[in-house]
Amino acid sequence: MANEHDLLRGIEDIPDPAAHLAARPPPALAEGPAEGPAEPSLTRPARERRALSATLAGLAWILLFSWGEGLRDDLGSPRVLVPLAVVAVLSGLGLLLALRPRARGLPASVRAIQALAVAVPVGFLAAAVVRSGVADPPVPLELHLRCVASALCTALVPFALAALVLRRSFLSAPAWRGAAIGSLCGLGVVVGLEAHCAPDDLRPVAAPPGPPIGAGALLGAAAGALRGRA
Amino acid sequence: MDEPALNAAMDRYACGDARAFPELHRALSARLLAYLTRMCGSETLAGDLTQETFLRMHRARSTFARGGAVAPWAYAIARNAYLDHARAQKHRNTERLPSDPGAEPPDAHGADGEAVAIASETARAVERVLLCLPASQREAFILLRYEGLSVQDAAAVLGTTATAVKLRAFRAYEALRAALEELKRRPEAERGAGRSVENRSVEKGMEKGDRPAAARPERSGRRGKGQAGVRGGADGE
Repeated sequence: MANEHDLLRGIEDIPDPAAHLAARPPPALAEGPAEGPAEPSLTRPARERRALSATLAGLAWILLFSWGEGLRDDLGSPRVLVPLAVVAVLSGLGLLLALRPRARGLPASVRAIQALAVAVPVGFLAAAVVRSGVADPPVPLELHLRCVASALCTALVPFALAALVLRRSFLSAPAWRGAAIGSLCGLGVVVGLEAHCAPDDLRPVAAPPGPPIGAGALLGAAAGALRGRA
Repeated sequence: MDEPALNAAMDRYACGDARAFPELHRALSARLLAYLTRMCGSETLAGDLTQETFLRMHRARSTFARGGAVAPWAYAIARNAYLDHARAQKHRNTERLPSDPGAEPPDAHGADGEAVAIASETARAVERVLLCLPASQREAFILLRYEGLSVQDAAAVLGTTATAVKLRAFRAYEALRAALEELKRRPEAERGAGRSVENRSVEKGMEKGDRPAAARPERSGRRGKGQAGVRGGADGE
């Protein structure tokens, strides 16, 4: 049985069933369409402006919502500020990694995107386990649920904006790309959440911020699969 | 039009210059038509999908990266158009009519005629085998062999790794080479009857769970002479 190295040597021997089409001379300019489709579509500058506006609007929403919930008293302390800054930077870098085009303008490889989509929730959970213990007495269920609701409301607008801006953006693997971007947006939401929520219990640390990341991944995958493909 | 000029035209179109569209259409339409014909097995359907591809390129033009390469980008969009069509076909489960009748047989008189007939039969055999391959292998092979994309570009188009692309293309190549060797071994007199043997091996492939695109004939919008011998329907993934 031939091995994989034979591929390059022998592949040219396979004839082309559609050679007659590929060999056709290109149509004269006069024969083709005189201009593009009549349907309006965004240009690149317009899209860049839209993406910037959406990013600023999403950040503003997170900050406003957090401020409305009441910022925690110890927000300025290094113990709180440094982890939040690290999470914010990681979220931004992750989005850059997921969205920035690579060589020849092509998107990031599927492996990189899959790694990102898995690393964000797993990494967050691991960090939560390391940072916190279990509170005694336990935090009441009502507070848990309130924190989860607050987290989801914080995440709502950034997710919607991301879905709008990234519609029809993905050349391949749209579900994975949507999942990676959704979980990274969720990570950004965690910054806002922990700016006003000061639990010292593993369950609230993992649970309320968990939904934005988990929901972001799931909703992002669904949005990517349904509307993300170019 | 060479690649840098084509990329520059797409760049202009992405920035809103509508005059660049005819240049893009002229440079890419034949290539995309050939690619989609190889994918779906029908020139008629490929024509529709090519138009759909240009419409999608128009809608997605803002996502074309500054300084990017338009060929792999366009192929990826064409592939998406094909996949969406294949999935819609699967869901609709539409009744199909016989496909395009195919090209007229070449004039077999004389040595040149015989060579042409053999080449034509070989090409049809390749087409049949291609359409019986799993879609993942077929598209990897087509992109590398016929469209001339690099392994990295093909991996980006297909949304997979370079290793997976090489492996899929290699498996397709093995199947095609086996079919061509079988064709060469078969004496001329049996070639007519042998076509039914090949169809049986195609059916055997179907029993093993393969999803041949040629399993069902396809509704054809036009029938006429001179169309290439391309038959078959869309294949869902």
